[in-house]
Amino acid sequence: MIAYGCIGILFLFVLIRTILYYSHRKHPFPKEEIDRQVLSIINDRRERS
Amino acid sequence: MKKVPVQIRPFRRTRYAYQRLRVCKNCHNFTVLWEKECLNCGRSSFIPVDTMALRLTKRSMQTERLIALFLTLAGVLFSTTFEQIAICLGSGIVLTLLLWLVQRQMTLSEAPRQLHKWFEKEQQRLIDGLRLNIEAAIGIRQQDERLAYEMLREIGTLVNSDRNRLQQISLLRNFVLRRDMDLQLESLLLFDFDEGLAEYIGEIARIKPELIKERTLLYVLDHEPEFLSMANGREILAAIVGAIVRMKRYVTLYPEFTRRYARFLPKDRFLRLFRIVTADDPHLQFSNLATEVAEIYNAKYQWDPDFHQSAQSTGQQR
Ligand SMILES: [Zn+2]
Repeated sequence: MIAYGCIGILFLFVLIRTILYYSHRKHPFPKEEIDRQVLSIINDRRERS
Repeated sequence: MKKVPVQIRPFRRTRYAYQRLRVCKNCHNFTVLWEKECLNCGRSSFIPVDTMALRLTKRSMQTERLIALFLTLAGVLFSTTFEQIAICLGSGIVLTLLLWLVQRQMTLSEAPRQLHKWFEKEQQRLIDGLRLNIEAAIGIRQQDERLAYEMLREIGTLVNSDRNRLQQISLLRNFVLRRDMDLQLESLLLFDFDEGLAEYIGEIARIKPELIKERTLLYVLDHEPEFLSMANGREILAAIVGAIVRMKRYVTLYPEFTRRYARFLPKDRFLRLFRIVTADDPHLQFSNLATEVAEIYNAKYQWDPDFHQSAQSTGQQR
């Protein structure tokens, strides 16, 4: 029975990853956000240190 | 001070600022410059961060496939009959293949998310990399001013600091500037007044007037008294007005500023202003600027055929 349990977990894993991949593709991560992140790392943290 | 003629490399433009960064595959040192060899580890293995994002994505996808295979293997190991082994092996392989097929289509859409997570982890390296870049630019300044300027310009796309801007301005003041150069203005604007910047704006107004835009004009208006306190301040301001009469929009937006320096304009610039003001426009028609332009016209250009031609041609259009 444990064997089928493993396959069951695998099935769920593949299912969840697939759903996540499709939802990520539907709402792509904005590159503007990366720009904002990088500029704030460089400019906010550099001034403090 | 003698200015040196230079050939400045054109400015490379990217859609996003972060895309100017490269990272060393070996030690994850960042750079915004174009050096081949990593200053940190000496290897020449820089790749653009977007390429790094794809690599990271592929690696995390590979880990997922390994997890899938591991679960399949566990299923096989825990099987008690041949039938179970066959079922586990078969379904495990099919599911892993399925996952792989999905992943293959998602590399591009997944990459920015991975990059975001990765930058969060690499903050300190990013800061250190930029610091190395700044040191390199300052270190080269004595030997090669042009190169130092190009480096500071590149660093300035990510590092927002007045010190960097002031250094760029002081280097630009040593160069013979030409119209065909890829020059910048708005990225160099400071908050406070600076004479070097004022001179630079004046020079740009003469050789590349199209770079004088809203933000520069706001800077000039904010610091007009300081401009006037310079020996050649009035000429600089007149050159700026000469640049903005290219666009009717700016004249309509800043009629008082234009009026104050209208009488210092050379003839061709004044003619341009004259045409804007005498065209049918309710905003300008009865303004102080119109009065001033009429006075200058009466005093200097009343008998000038160029002006009459323009009056006639606008008359015909009506
Ligand atoms: Zn390295």
